[in-house]
Amino acid sequence: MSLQQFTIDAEPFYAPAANEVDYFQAAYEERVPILLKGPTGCGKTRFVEHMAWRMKRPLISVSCHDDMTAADLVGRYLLEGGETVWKDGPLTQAVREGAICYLDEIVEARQDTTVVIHPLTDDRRALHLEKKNELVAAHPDFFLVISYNPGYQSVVKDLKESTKQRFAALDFAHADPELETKIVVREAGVSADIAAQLVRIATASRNLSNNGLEEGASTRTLIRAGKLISRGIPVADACDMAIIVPLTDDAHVRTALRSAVVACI
Amino acid sequence: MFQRKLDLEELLTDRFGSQSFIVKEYKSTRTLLAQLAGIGPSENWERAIIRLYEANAGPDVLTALWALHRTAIRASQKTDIEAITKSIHEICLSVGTRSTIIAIRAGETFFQNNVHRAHALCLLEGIVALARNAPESIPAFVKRSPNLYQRLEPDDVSRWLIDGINLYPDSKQSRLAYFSLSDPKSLSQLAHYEGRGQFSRHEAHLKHLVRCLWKTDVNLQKEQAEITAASAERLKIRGNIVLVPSTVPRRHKHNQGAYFEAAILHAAAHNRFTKNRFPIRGMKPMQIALTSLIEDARVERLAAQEYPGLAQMWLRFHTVEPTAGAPVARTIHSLFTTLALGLSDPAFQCSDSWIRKGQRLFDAAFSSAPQDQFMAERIARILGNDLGQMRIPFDPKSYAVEPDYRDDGLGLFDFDEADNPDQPPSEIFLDAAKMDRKEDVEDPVQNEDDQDVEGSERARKKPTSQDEELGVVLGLYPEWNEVLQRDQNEFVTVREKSLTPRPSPNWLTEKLSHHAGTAARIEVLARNAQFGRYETTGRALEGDIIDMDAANDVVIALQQGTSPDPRIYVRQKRAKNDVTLGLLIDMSQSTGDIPQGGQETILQMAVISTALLVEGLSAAGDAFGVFAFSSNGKDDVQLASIKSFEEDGAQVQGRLADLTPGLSTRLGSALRFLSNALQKQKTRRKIIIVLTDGEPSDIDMEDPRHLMEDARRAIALSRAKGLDLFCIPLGRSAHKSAATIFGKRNTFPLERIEDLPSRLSALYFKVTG
Ligand SMILES: Nc1ncnc2c1ncn2[C@@H]1O[C@H](COP(=O)(O)OP(=O)(O)O)[C@@H](O)[C@H]1O
Ligand SMILES: [Mg+2]
Repeated sequence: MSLQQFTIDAEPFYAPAANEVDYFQAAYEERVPILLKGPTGCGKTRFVEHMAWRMKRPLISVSCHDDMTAADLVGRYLLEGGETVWKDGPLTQAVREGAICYLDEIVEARQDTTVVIHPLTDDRRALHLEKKNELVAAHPDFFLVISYNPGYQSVVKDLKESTKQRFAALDFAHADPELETKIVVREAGVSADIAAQLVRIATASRNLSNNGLEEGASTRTLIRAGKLISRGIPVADACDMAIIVPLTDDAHVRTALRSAVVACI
Repeated sequence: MFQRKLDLEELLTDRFGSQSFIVKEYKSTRTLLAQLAGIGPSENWERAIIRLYEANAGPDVLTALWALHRTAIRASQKTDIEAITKSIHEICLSVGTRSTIIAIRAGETFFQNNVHRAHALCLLEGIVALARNAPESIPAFVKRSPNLYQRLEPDDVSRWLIDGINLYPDSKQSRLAYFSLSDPKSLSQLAHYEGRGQFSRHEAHLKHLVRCLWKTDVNLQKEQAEITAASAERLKIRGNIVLVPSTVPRRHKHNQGAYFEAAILHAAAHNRFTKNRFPIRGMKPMQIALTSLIEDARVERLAAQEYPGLAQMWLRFHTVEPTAGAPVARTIHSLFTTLALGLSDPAFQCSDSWIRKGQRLFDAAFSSAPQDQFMAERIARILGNDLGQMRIPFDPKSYAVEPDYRDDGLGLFDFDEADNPDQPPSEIFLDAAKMDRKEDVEDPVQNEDDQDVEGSERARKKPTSQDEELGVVLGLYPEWNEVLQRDQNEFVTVREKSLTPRPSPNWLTEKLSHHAGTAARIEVLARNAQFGRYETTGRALEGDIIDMDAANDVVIALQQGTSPDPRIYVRQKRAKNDVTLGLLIDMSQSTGDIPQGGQETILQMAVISTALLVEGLSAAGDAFGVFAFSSNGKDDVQLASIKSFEEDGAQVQGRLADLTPGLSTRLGSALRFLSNALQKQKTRRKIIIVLTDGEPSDIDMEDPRHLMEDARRAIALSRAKGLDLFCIPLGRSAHKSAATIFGKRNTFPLERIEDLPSRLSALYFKVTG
């Protein structure tokens, strides 16, 4: 099994907000695992892709979810043509062969899942395959990155203190309006004017986070709206489809957001 | 006199003959009602008709009523038919055949036009009231009713109607004028109910909108206009409060929302950009009006620089028709409205030199220093001089700001500096001064500032109702002594506070009707919780689903020749009833405060939110108990049981409605009581949620730290017993102490208290989901 498929050939466009590129690079050199904190759709995934490309390392990304167990990360025995074969999970593969492993929204996974990464994040740099009874020493190039959205205030789901403290963290926020406009122009292929309108709308919606909305509109939804607009859909309708309706079911908040869209364009 | 016979058909046949029209009508109606609504022959309907017949209703009334029944039954249900018959019966008892038939026909038109059945039923009830008190006005009211029901909510039509009856108990003539809408009072009342209904409908979204654009909250308050105010009023900005009179300019239903948006965003633009108040000294009324007109244009232009769409939105409200070249009439009204348009719409070309001058001065000033609000004063002085020379009179009494979404402008001026004796106070001045005084009394901002001080003051005062008998003792509880660093046993007496359930409808059921949306969302949460809460156990001996990992291991074990583990199933068990909630509501004196910008007291909000949560809990099938507490020293901690863990929820709303604020907050003891009761419950999870508005205090405690530490200890002990405790602090001052007592992660502060209804339920389903 080769990591070939996980290498990124073309440069993924990433517009840095500050020094995060240099800092990530430094952390990588020292193999200090990284925790990316920030709201959804603000460029965390894109950043990791960009860094992987920049450092010419293959990138294995895993989106974590409710039902994910340790076996989904680490691997399991499977039956193949009457024989049992061990199949490495994505994490194990990255550990053995020296890739960057990006665990997106790690809190979503079951608690036991986070524990398996602990030995990878300290001096041991090893992964224990319990079922196979094997201790995999990490490849020198292996690097672990996880992400976490602190906006979802939740009593039951939160990163354990013991997990958090094993990482160096980079804080992500929505890009400032000027930069975000550039991103939208570039990613959605709309004019700077339209992009500026969309960014205004997003900025306004973010004023409602934790106050009508759980989170405001993300850069991702703006790009979606932009793409619809470039297909000829009127701005207000595209915003309705791509931003407002997905964001909330509350009738009052929707009415307010629709009026805010009118005010922004 | 008629003998009471139960068979109506026989009765009618005896009287009118079996082939008569009326007997045929009766039979066909009976058949239709039976077919469509399953109304059998011997039911109330039949008896009601007999009563009506006995009340001397002639064949005309009966046949008209049956026609109404046949129309109505297509849009409504059995009970509606009964209600209709009952109303007509009462009308028939009070007035003659002619008016009764008018009423019946009116009802029929309502049902025919597919008007909501509630309107039709309300209309008939309204006519009953008229039949008793103002029979002469029935035709006049009926004639206007379609219009009335289009403009007002049915309840408000009834209120308007009762107002008319109460205003003129002894004068037929005046009542007739009222119900024909030719009395100004009748119109102003109508405007009042209309404006009121409509503003409440938009309030929530308007607040979101302002926050969305400018990240600030507007403090919107409804202002009850006087009954005589016949003309539309403007919004008023007073300090940081925006007053919305009940008589704001009216628009058609569909456009009223747009009107309120324009008005509130204009006020918000002032909030944001009018940084100072203009000193009033030496200003004549006309100058005041001009200054505020120019300042209006300035703040709108600044707002539109941030949000370009706003310019267009506001422009739509200008009513001036710009006919090129036509001269502008030399009246204040036409000059001012045209100037307002000219300053708002840079593309507006005007032949009038005064308007053009205004545009030029404003554009120049704005492009050089847009933030300089005193440009308004300077330009107003120049333009005002010109008007003086043109000898155009300004009458402050008849002046109204245009376009009509704009506030009255007086809030921009500083009247405190106006004690110049040479300056005769203008009409405007007087009005404004009156307003300012009122503001002093009502300003809720001040209340909030004082809250902390007052709260502790209050706690110290012994209540006057001391002679009230003490409640039944529920238990003696220890209390932590911070100085001695130990528990003092049996230190506190917790007593029962009895509640008298309020019959429905009461204030609570009324408030709840405005929360239908929240209730619906909570129901969805509850339903999801019901489905979502499974407990999954892998590697079980039996179950419906095979655990793939385990199955894999079996095959592998077989292949490797070892003995397989037979536990290959996943068991999913509904964990439905595996949680019990104990909700504890603080009902101390301070919860009687109305938070800034709110309409309900803190306790009322807590009660409304609880009632909504209770619906959700019942839908989810979770066990729960609800309690409220206050205290009057260590020997009288009062605990009201709204629903014990054993009772069903039947009395919850009635008892909740009976809670009243009073006394102090000995939280720890209340928690100990609840924790004890909750520990006896069988479920795996046991949760306590506390709603409180401040730190613990009591009349016999000088040092507030003591009760705080006691509460912390009560919580620590409960947690050690496996209970989960959370707190929603109500109000900003409660936040810090709640975080100290419950821990930051178990405290869920609200941005605004209005969020409580949805947040309380959301929190519950989140922590249990
Ligand atoms: N700084 C950025 N540079 C380039 N693209 C960005 C940036 N921030 C956001 N994006 C765009 O937003 C989209 C969503 O970002 P993503 O990285 O998937 O968000 P996250 O992982 O934080 O949820 C990306 O696909 C990209 O188009
Ligand atoms: Mg104004």
